[in-house]
Amino acid sequence: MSARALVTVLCLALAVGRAHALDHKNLDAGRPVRVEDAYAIADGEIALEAAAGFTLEREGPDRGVFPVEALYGAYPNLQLAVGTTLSTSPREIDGRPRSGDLQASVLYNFNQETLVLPALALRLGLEIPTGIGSRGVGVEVKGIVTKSIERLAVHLNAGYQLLTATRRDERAGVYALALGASYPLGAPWLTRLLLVGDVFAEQAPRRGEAPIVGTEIGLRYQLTPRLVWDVGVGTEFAGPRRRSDLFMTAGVSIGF
Amino acid sequence: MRVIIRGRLGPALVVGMAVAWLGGGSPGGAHEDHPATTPGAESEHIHAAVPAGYAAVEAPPHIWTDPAVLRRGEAIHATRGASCHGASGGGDAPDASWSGLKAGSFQDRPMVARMSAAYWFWRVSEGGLVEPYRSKGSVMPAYKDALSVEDRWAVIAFQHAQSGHAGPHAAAEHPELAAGPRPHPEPRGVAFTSGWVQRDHRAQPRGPWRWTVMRELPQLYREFNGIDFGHAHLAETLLHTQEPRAVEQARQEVLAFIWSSPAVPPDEEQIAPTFTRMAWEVARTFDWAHLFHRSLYDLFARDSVTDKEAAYRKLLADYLEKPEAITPHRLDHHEALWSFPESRSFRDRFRTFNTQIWAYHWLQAAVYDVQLAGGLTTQQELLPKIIDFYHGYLRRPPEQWQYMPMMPEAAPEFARRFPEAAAIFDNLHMLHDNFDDVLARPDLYPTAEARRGAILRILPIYLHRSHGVRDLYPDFHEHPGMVMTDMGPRPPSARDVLR
Repeated sequence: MSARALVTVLCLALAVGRAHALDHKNLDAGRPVRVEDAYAIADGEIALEAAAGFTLEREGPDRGVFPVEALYGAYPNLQLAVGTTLSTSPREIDGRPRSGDLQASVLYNFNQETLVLPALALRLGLEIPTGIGSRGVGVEVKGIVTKSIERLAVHLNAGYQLLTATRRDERAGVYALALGASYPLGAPWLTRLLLVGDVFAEQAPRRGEAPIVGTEIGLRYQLTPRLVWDVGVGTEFAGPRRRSDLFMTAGVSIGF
Repeated sequence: MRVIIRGRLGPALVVGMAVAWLGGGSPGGAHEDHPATTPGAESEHIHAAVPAGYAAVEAPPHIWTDPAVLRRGEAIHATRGASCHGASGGGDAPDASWSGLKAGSFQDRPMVARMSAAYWFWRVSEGGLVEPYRSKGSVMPAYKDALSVEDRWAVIAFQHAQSGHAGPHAAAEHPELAAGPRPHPEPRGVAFTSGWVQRDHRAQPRGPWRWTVMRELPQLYREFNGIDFGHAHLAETLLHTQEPRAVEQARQEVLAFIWSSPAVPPDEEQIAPTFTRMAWEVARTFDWAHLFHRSLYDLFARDSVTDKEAAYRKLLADYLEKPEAITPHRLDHHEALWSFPESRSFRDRFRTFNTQIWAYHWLQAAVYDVQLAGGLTTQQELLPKIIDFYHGYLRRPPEQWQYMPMMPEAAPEFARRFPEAAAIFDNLHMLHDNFDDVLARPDLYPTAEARRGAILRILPIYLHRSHGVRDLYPDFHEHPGMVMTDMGPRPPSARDVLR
């Protein structure tokens, strides 16, 4: 099932791909940290993002993770995305998403940030249980705010995911919060390197468990006008016993 | 001095081009003209805009013809001004050009006729302590403490009389004075009244030409990346300081960036975060027009696209569909769009940086005619010569230019074959000048809100949405048959350079 999901994503990306530029400073979840900015990719832009990483679990087997996602600027200020994450030891995953679950989302950016107003966006996500051992559907609504002070941009993400077909000990809905910041290192002379970090908290998937709290930091570097490389590292320092002591990812975003 | 014929010439325009802003006689030592060290600058006078503190000053009406005042003024001039301006105000005294700027001649009647009393009084009062005169090396003393208000007016009246004009220095006698700055027009049609603005980030249109310049003409691609940095860094600098040394440092930083031959287009939002958030509508206008520029360079570099005319039409239509697309109508850059209260302030205060920017625009234009001269191989052969010539401008900005280079001058073949794009790019470059002028006048626009308001009242004049069968801005258009003359030294065409 997971292989089928990956093929689906790649076919979608390649079917519409032609030459195009890449907005390297656009922050999308997981590239390389979970916090997102409020901006969609440019209208008409197509990008493929892929990464490889690992998570060292406090309890349970460590895993390799391989996310892949295709993005498309379908209309001005509207971004469509579809992707999945493949994992090693897929049956050991506690919570969502499962390895191979298909994830689709729509992000709409309402406005450009001004000297006074922050940029606002809404993201709707759908998680389809195509993965190994997966069941039920997840529907997420996330609000995103970006406000800058000079070159330092601060991003607030607040989301809630409704889950179907949950077990008795699982929550039917979980919140997730992330507060992050990004800064172009070397600007104005160098605008190819972006430092990004966040702190996050999300409800644990099982009832009665403490929220997962963690932090992560990463870099995005524009190698060429069409290629961005990123790397991130983080830890979940509070929460249930089944959480990650250390996770790391490295990936690329390619514009078509 | 080159004469450019674009169409009909109104008498005011002829005189205006010859004298306005450039000519300027000056007060009891008040007015200075061209840098004494600059050869060939015979007709150039720096006639900067009057700062807010002096703009409302009015001369007592009787002084111009009152014999007692004139005698008093003559006595003051003899001791305070004659050593530079000459006993009769002819600007021909032995000390007239010993340092910095050459003293002006009050016998230059057309120049005196255009000099407002407020400007004259400002110059006598502040002398060479103020910009742009200080940066140009002016040695003129400031008389605001040495002479009373009455004495300053007396010396001005005497100097005015040296022009041979016996009547009052008033608009009734000098129609040139009545022209005054043109107020920003109220928006007609498109208005930007809300602070809520959408981002509308658009990708470059797709086509087989995409990335051709990056791949096949990498040196040119990198030059354009440097230019992108130049505009953004200037805007952000002017938002934070007007201090001449800081602005000059910013210019040097731009040069260093250009010489670094940047392989990746810089992110203008990160270079100029305040500017882009202050007036996103303008940043978006610039962004889309620059994308159109880049698309056309790619197109003309792509040999496999044989019907370039059709591809051009497609790209033009795609561009004009955008809400903040610039009109392909030819606008009146030299008069109507450069007659606002802040107009020419950036040029006059930061002449070197200004002409460096005009050098960017010259390159952006000249490249097109090289591209039209042949296929990719020809372009690869010829463009290094054009780029070398442009680098010469960067090393020594062409300060002799008084007006920005126009597409029909630098790229006449392109302007003939693709007049819509040529007009769009000339309009784009003039919009840059308008915006820099607003940023260079914090005395007129002291807050971000005021600057935003000023530029957003100018922006609609440029927008394609404001132009159609019944133009909303007919008074800002270049009129058929208009003639521009006396523009001073003009840039060469690409063909001139390659010859």
